[in-house]
Amino acid sequence: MKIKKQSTIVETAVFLLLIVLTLVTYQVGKMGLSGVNISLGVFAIALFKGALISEHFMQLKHASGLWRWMILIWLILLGIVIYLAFTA
Amino acid sequence: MTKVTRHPPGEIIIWLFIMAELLVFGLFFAAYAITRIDNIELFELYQQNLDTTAALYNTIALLSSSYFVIRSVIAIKADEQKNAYRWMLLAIVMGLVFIVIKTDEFAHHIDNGITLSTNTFYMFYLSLAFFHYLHVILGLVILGVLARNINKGMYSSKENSSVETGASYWHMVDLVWLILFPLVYVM
Amino acid sequence: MKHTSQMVAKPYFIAAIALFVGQILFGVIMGMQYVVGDFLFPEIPFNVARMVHTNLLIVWLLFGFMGAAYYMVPDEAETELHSPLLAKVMFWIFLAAGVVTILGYLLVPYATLAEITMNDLLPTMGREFLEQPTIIKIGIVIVALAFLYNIGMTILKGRKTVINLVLLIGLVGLAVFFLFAFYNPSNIVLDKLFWWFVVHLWVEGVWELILGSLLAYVLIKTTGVDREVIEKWLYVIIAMALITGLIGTGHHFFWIGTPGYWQWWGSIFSAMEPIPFFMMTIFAFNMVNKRRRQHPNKAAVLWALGCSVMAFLGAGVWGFMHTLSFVNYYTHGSQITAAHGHMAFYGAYVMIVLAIISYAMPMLNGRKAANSMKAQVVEMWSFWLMTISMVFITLFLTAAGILQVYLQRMNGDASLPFMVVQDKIEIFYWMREGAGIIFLIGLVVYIASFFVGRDQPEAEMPK
Repeated sequence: MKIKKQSTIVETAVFLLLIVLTLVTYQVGKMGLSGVNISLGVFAIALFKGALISEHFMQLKHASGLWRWMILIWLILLGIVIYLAFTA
Repeated sequence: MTKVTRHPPGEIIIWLFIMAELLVFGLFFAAYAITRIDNIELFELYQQNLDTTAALYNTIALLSSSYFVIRSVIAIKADEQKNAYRWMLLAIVMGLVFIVIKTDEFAHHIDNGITLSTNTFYMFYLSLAFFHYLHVILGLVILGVLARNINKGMYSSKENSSVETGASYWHMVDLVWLILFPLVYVM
Repeated sequence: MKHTSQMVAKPYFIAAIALFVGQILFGVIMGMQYVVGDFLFPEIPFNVARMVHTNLLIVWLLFGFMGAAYYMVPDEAETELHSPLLAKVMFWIFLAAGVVTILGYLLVPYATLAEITMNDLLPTMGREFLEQPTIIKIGIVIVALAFLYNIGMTILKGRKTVINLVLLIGLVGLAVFFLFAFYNPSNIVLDKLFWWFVVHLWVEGVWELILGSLLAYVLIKTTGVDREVIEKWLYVIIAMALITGLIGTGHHFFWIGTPGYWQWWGSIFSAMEPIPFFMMTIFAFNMVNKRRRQHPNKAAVLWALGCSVMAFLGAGVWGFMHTLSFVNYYTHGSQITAAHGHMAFYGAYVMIVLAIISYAMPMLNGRKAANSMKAQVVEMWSFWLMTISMVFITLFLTAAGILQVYLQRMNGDASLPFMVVQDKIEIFYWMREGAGIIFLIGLVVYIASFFVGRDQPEAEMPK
């Protein structure tokens, strides 16, 4: 009996979204936009990309409890530190 | 419908390892950001010397590589050993693209006489980038072993925990770069 | 005890305890010299007492590790030791070398010792903890190689358990890193850098593998928890120890003249060195909680649990307190360092050796599993006496250190000279000496525990 293969649509969509977000970040860098708000915006995008990786690539959306949240918490903590450091 | 499992994919031990790695990198990122507070001009000046375009290619390479690893995992879970092998090879190729580009970047810095002692910005950039680079190499070794084993028919829809374990590690390597790139090259 | 060759461990354990007594006697002497400066001068000057104290510590711990290996490895490998004769011969050679060295320190001026041992053929003397004459160091290498050969051959022909392999890797690492004791660059920066390749990579590196494997062994034996569970924990613990401890060596490279990036690398990585110790504490308590049976050797379980706690406190917490470069800038080489050093060594390595001796000695003495309840109670008394007094030694030295750092290094123009500050913290040194005497009493009680209740039946598992 052939195993029903998991659909790849979600992961492919996430991958493409990640590429798009990467290009956005690159453009910001290339255009030489400066300022704390721009920087924090770029980092927020990075954190979102990180969450996409942890939820969809690492499949943590299927995990329960602390396992699911550990990387998200890491991202949030990092976000807080970077926010404080860049607005100091 | 996919079920809710308690544990993340692969052996638990790799997740402890992943958290340890994220702790190290996290501390390093934090140290970078905090040091930058008193060195903004220095950091912004030398940041411009970095090759953002090369970093873009590297980001795309790692993202693609992670995606191909996922395709490989999905394939092995459907008993499609041949496809799983091909996807894994593609993943490795993209990883090698990263290594080639990054090595070229490092060579460029060395040619310009830049070292860990040149200034604080370069100390952080080289430390972070090189430390990550080593993890990419380790990840490629892991993927290489997985590819070989897939080819030997060692994994299947029933027996694929090792593939998921290696995949999880590789995604972590990708994740770290996704933070490193904007933080050090752009912001 | 399933294999008769395990008996070779016994002389190693006895020598270990004997040298431990010597170490503490000289510790108490030095504690006195801190407050009565010419105590026993010129017969035993402070620097000589210090060499004796530190060298005895290292040598008795090595005897302990070797005894532990000779006891554990045949059991784990399920085969007799490759050569009990070699083990016995090496015992006497190592003991003789150790005794001769200590006598050399005590009876002969150090410069003369260097001369008569032909130090200038290959100079290795004169560095802290590595004061041994070169020929003695060579002897140590030979003893170590013979030991590794013996243990290695035993493991090769028998069952290769995770515990055995981790222990072997740790012991091989111990021997390999000791070789750096022979490397003596004339550049002072490099001299100090490579000195740490012996010291740090020992106690914050490969010794942690030895510690982990000994702890795992005692826990398997006394709790009956599944071997697989314990082995998984051991892997994670040693992985964390190596990840944090290898580059963590950089926390010794802050001020010796190395490039500035070491302040970052050393701080970040060494800040995480408490993690494996924290894991060992969770590991130990978790395994005991999940235990399948009540082992009659309660003393051994107490040592194992106590070890994990004291190691975490002494090595992990006290280590963390002064590991960040901007803290260490002020505290370097102060009594804070001494406080950490004492609790760390006691908690991690003294206690694990005492734990394995506690577990193994009853059986080496012919018991089935444990000593009589009377002997165990006396032993547990010694545990509390030594451990609590060590906590107080550490607290007193910490207080002394905080005051010392503040008065001597943080008071701007009002900073006071070294000896003036030493005068002001004298009270803490007196209290430390008091605690040290109690530690010595604890050690005496410990030795007594080997002699009481010998005729009484051994403690049994509760029905």
